[in-house]
Amino acid sequence: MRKQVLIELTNLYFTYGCHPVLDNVNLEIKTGESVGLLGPNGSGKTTLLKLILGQLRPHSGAVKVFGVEAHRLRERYRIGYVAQRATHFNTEFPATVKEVVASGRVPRRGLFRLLTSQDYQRVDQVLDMVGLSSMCNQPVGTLSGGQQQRVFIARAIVSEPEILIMDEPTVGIDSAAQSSFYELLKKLNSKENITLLIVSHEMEGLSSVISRQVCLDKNLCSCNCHSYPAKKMQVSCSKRLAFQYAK
Amino acid sequence: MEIFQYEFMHRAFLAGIIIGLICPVVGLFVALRRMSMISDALSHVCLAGVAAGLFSGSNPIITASAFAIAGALTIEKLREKFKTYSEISIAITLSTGVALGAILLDLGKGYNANFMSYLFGSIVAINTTDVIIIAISGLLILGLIFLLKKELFFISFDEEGASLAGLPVKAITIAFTVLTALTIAVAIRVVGILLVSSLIVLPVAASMRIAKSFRGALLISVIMAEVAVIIGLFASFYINLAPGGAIVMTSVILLLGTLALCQRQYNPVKVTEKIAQREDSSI
Repeated sequence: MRKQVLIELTNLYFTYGCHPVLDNVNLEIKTGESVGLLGPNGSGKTTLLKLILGQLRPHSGAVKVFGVEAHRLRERYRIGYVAQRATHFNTEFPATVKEVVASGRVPRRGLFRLLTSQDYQRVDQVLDMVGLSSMCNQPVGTLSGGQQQRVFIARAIVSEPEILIMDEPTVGIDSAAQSSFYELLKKLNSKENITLLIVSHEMEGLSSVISRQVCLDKNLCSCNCHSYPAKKMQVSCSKRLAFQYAK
Repeated sequence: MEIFQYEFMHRAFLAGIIIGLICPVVGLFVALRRMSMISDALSHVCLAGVAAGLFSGSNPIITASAFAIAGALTIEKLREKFKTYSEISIAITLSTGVALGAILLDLGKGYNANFMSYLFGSIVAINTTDVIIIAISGLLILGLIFLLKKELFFISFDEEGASLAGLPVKAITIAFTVLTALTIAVAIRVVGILLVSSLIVLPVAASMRIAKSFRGALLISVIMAEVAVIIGLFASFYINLAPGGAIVMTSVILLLGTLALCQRQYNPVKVTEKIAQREDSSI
């Protein structure tokens, strides 16, 4: 069966003022893939995500998600997003884990509509999946960084998205929590069939999760995967060309 | 009881109980969205609205509502102009409201007992029309907050996340600010212009110290506000105190009592460390 293209970037160009950030970027992400987007700080990774999420518009080229221009996508709940600073929330906010996760169902349900028992069943199911069932009534601010990260992943996937996008998901999480986090991502990709796009400046730990790496660098695109041919690593590209490598 | 033999006290209790319900419900979202100063600015805009009502001979609650809604929309518009310094919009609206109020009062020679009843609240001055306006507005506010509760929760917790998830954050924010304005305008009859923002903030501040969930915070803040309103009205009747002052001082005492009784201060950092240790060892 032919896999559907979920994200499609074509000749993408984006600039902040007179400094081009992304130039001639081409990328396709298909159903069921697990893609790692890596690159150093300031390489345009977050800008690329903002374009995919429809927060920014390209200066030229196209960004299509589910076949429509990203900024015109109405069913935003089809994309789950976990921000880089997701865990930097107000820890004194009076909300339980379950209340925060349930809020992820809101966009799917629609304005002026109350959450139903079906929604809460899905919330319980997701809490179980991410291993937070026992903590569902705990204030979210009292959890550890790794547990909070799981809460935000749960909130992102509770709306049954087809793609889960994460920006630097392992920042601030200790190594013990990271390994169980990678296991969770594998489970989401293989069992829930959620396509993953993970942005990170290091891919060492994520290499067991991702099926393909895409590298962004300032003036040179390279892939620093351990098994990537050295010759190709030195290939000089036009500014900000996304370079793909299949494992 | 003697207090319930008077019809004006029936009206005062009815209006007070409605206000004791809507102020903390709106106030919880106001506090969580760090918009507490907006309620203060809008109450000062109501000053101009009341002055306009007294000057024109219209019902001051209706004119105060119109002014407060206009003030709320102005704040939202100014926030767009001063994105980085959004508090400037609050200062501009507050000072404009007070200045306009001073001019209208001077023109209408309105510094009288009637105006004072709007400044600090009055139980004897609440008439049947006021109660009807407060009841209709209260129903509208509660109904809309109930329908938008889940969206407001999401936006209050994570505005950027809500926007990325496709919620119309701007439209909901404007609608909520208008509801806040309406709440303040109808509450001034009982609590007074100068003290209305306290009834919005104080019960919520007390509830946030003890609540472990959003639902709990909502429930506790409503109970705190209702207790403050009822005790305040009793104090106002028996000790002849200004109702606004009595209600707000009861709220202050409840807040101080809550802080004193919360011996186990909620310290997220310590609790996080403790739970993290326990959970990490179980993973």
